[in-house]
Amino acid sequence: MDTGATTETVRDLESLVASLTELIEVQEKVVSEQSERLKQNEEALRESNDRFLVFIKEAAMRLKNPLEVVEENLAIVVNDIEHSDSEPKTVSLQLRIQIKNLEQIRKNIIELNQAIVDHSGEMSEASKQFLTG
Amino acid sequence: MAFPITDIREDEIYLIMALAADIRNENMELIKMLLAKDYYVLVITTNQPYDVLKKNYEKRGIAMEKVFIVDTITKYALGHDHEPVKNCRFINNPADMTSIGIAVTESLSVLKGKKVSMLFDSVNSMLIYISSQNITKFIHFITNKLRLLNFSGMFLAVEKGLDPDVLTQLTTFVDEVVDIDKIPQKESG
Repeated sequence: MDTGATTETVRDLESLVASLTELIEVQEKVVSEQSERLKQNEEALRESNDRFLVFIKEAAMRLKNPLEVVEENLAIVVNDIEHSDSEPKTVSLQLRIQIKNLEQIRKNIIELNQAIVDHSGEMSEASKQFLTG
Repeated sequence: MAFPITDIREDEIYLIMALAADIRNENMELIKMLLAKDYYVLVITTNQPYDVLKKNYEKRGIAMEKVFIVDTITKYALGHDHEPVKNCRFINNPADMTSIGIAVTESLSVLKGKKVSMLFDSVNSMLIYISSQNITKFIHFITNKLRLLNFSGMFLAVEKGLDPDVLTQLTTFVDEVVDIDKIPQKESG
């Protein structure tokens, strides 16, 4: 066998191996970067969902429960009126407090809607306006 | 029903859970029980205004001499000052925790050296105006004040009205949680 030709073939093979190794390294790097990006996206999504869940729980506590407070307060006012147990001035004050409570509950609902709008990517401007206006 | 803890310790702090419909009545039962045990009582009210509290207390035969009130709601609802009252401090806004904190600190300082209990009515109505995070901080602040002065305290809250995580946090600030509805009623007669 021609020694010169063999040497050249070995060089070609070595060069091919080097190229392939380099290609594999590049591919590994690309896969690694993509994997890291995917991990970051998943983490961001999880954090976003966690934040949203915390907000929903807070909103439920600040909507459902306050409405029950207002409901009970109004029932007390009605009961006092029916039993002629209250002066108009006192009834007026109690009702004013319930109006203030309801005003604040409405603001809390708008705050909740704002969070939903911020969280939701696809929503028309009209819908956003309706929810938060 | 009457408050079930007959042997409360002077420096103990309670979270008292009741049905929304029973909160007003529990407030009065607690005041009666505390006054019968010679306590001075500081009431922080976020739902019932001073005028209504006073009328209800007097109707139940509760003397106002040893009752002090921090009223967070009257001035806010009226939109103007209430006429000055000797044992009551009126706060501009129920969301103004700084002013409430100052009023509570000043009221507790006046009562220093006496046998004092604080009644907070209620966690739930305050949640209309303040986030659970801030209310938790506020209750932590109040319980610290009470412990420094060796005063007792009671926080009224509506059963099932609190998020379990918030309830767990509040539980760490108090010595005991009393669920009024789960206490067996004594048979009458």
